[in-house]
Amino acid sequence: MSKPLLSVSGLGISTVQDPRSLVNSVSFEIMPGEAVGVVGESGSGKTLTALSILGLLPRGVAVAGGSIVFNDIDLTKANPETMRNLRGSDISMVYQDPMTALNPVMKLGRQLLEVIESHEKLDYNSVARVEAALREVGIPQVERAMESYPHEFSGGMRQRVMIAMALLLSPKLLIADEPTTALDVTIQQQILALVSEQRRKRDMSMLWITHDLGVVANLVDRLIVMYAGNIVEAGTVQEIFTNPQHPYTHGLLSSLPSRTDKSRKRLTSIPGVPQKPWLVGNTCAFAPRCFKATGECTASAPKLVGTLEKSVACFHPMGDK
Amino acid sequence: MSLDIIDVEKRYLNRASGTTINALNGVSIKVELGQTLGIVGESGCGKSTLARAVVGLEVPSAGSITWDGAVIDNKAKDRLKSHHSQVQLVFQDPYSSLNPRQQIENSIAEAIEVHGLVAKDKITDRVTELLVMVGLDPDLRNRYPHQLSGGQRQRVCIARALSAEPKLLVLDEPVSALDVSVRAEVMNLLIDLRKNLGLTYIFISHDLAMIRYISDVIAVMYLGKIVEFGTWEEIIENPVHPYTKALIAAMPDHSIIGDPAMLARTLEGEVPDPVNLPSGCSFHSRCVLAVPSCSTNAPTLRDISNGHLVACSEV
Repeated sequence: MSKPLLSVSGLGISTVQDPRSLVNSVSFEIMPGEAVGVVGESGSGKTLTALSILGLLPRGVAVAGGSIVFNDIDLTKANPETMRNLRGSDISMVYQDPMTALNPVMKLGRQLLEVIESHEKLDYNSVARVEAALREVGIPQVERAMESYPHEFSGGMRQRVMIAMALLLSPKLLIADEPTTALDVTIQQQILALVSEQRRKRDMSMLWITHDLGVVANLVDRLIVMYAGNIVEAGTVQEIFTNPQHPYTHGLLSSLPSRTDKSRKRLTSIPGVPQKPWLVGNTCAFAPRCFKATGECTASAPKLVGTLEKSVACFHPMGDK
Repeated sequence: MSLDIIDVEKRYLNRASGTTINALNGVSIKVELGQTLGIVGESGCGKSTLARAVVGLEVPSAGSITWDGAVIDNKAKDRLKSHHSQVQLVFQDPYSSLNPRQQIENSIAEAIEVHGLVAKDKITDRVTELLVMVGLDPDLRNRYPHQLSGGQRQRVCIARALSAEPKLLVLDEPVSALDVSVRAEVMNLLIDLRKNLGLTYIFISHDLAMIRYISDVIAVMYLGKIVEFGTWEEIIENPVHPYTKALIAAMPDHSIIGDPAMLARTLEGEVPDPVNLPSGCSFHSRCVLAVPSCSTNAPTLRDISNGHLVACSEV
C-alpha cells in the first residue's frame, strides 16, 4: 500500500490562555489522490482541524499535541518559512465565503498573479497561465475578468475564481471549507461538478469540510464524522451511508427527510444540543444525547477503533444490518 | 377565509443608479385555510419579498393581497395591527430577530400586550403556556437570547409569533440557519403545532427536501414569477417545468452514494439580473427546451391536469 500524503495523528487543538480543548486527539490519513470528507455541526472542530494543517489557526488557538505529517514534514513543528512555501503550492484552500477571502480592492488578474509571484518568479508566461486557469474553471471573457474586481462577479463566479486560484500551482492537497454553503443549489451543483472533474483530472487529494451529508455522498471516497471535537466515526462513504455504526451518524442520517418516502413519516430527531468540546472530559461526548448510552459511556471515553474502511468510537455501536 | 394574492408586482427603485429591481413580476396564488403552501426558489426569486408583502412589511407596486376580504397595505396602522393578530412571520435568523437585551419572557409578553389578548395579570401564565407549547422549559423565561442555542431561539421566535394567536404563519427559511441535528426537531414541532392549533402555513425555503416534507401544495418561483404549481406529489414526482426538473436534480441526495455522475451539471449559467429581466420567458436563457419564440413570448400559467399549473410553452 502506498504511503499516505497526509497523516494526522493524535491532534489536539486548544485555546492558549485558560486552556480549553477544542479538538481532541484527532487521527486520520489521506492517501495520494484520495478525497476525504469531514462532516460535523458547528463547533465540532472540523474547520479548526483543517486550518491547523495550513498553520492558519486563529489567534489565541494553537495545536496542543499530536502531529500533522505531510510529505515527511511535521507541519506542527515546521518553521513559518516552510509553511509559507507549502501554502498555496503543495496545499491550498478554498474558503466558505469568497467575498471575504478575495481582496475587494485588487483586480482579479493581479490577485492570481500574486499567487505565482509568492512562490516563483513571474515571467512572460505567467499571465497566460492565470488566464488558462480561469478558463479551466469556466469563467467567461477571461481577459475582461482579469481586469475586474471581486464585487463585479456573482457568488458562484467568485467561488470559481477561488478554485482557479487554489489550483493555479497544482497542489497535491486541496482543502475546501464548505465552499458551496453560501450558494444556490443549482450553482452548488455546478461547483461540485467542477471540483470533482478537476480532482480526477489532476489526481489531486482533497479534504472537503461540510455540514451537509448530501453534498459529500457522491464527491468523496471516505468520510470522517466529527462531534464535539472528536472523530466519532470514519469509513468509506458506502459504509457510512448504508451501515452507520455510531448512534450520532445514525441519528444524523435518519433526521434527513427522505426523497422517496411517500408517507412523509415523522423525522427522527436527536434530542438536546451538542456539548462544548472542553466540557466533555473523559467521557463519550455524545452520551447525554444518545439512546444507547450506559454507565460505561460516562465512565471513560471510547477510542476510535477499526480499519481504514470502517472505524467507530463507541461502546455500543449500532451493529451490522 | 383565505389569502388571495392577485397579480402582485414589487419593484424597488435604486435612486443612486436610477435602476429598478423587479422583485415580483405578477404573482397570483390562493392559500386556503388549513393548507400549507411551500414556496421554493433560489436567491433573488422573490420568495422573501412575497413573504414580507403577505404580512404587510412591503406594499405591492401593483396587484393586491387580500386576507379574509381585507386588502393588506400599510395605509391604516390599525388595520395592519388587526392583520398581525391573524398573520405572523417567523424569520430565518433567530439570532438577529430577538432583542439581545431582552429576557425571552419579555420578548413574548410584549407581543401579547400589543394585541391585548390576555389580562395583564395573566400574561406570565400565558408565556408559560406558550413556552411549553413549543417544547421549551418554562424556567428558560429569564434567560437572554445569547444563553440559548439556535434551536431554542427559533422556538422562542415561534412562541412569540403564536402569542398573537394567528391563523396564518409565514415561515421564511425557519430551519436553514440551524444545525442539521436540530432541524428535524423544529420541523416536527411545526407539524405538531399545525395539527394542534389548526394553523395555515406559508413555508418558504430553498431546500426542496424540507418543502417536500411539509407542504400540501408547492409553488416554484423563478425571477419573481411562479413557474410551476401543484400538489407536493405532482411537483416532486411529476415535475414538468424545466426549471423545476433542474432544481430537483440538483437536490443533494444521500440515497445515492459514490456515483460521480450524480454531480453532472444540471443547469448552465446563473439567474439573470432582476434589473434587466430577459424578454419573453425569463428562464429562456438557461433552458434546455428553449426555442426562438421563448425569447419573445412570456408564457402564462396554464392548467395541465387537475390544478397542476405550469408556465412553459414547450411542455
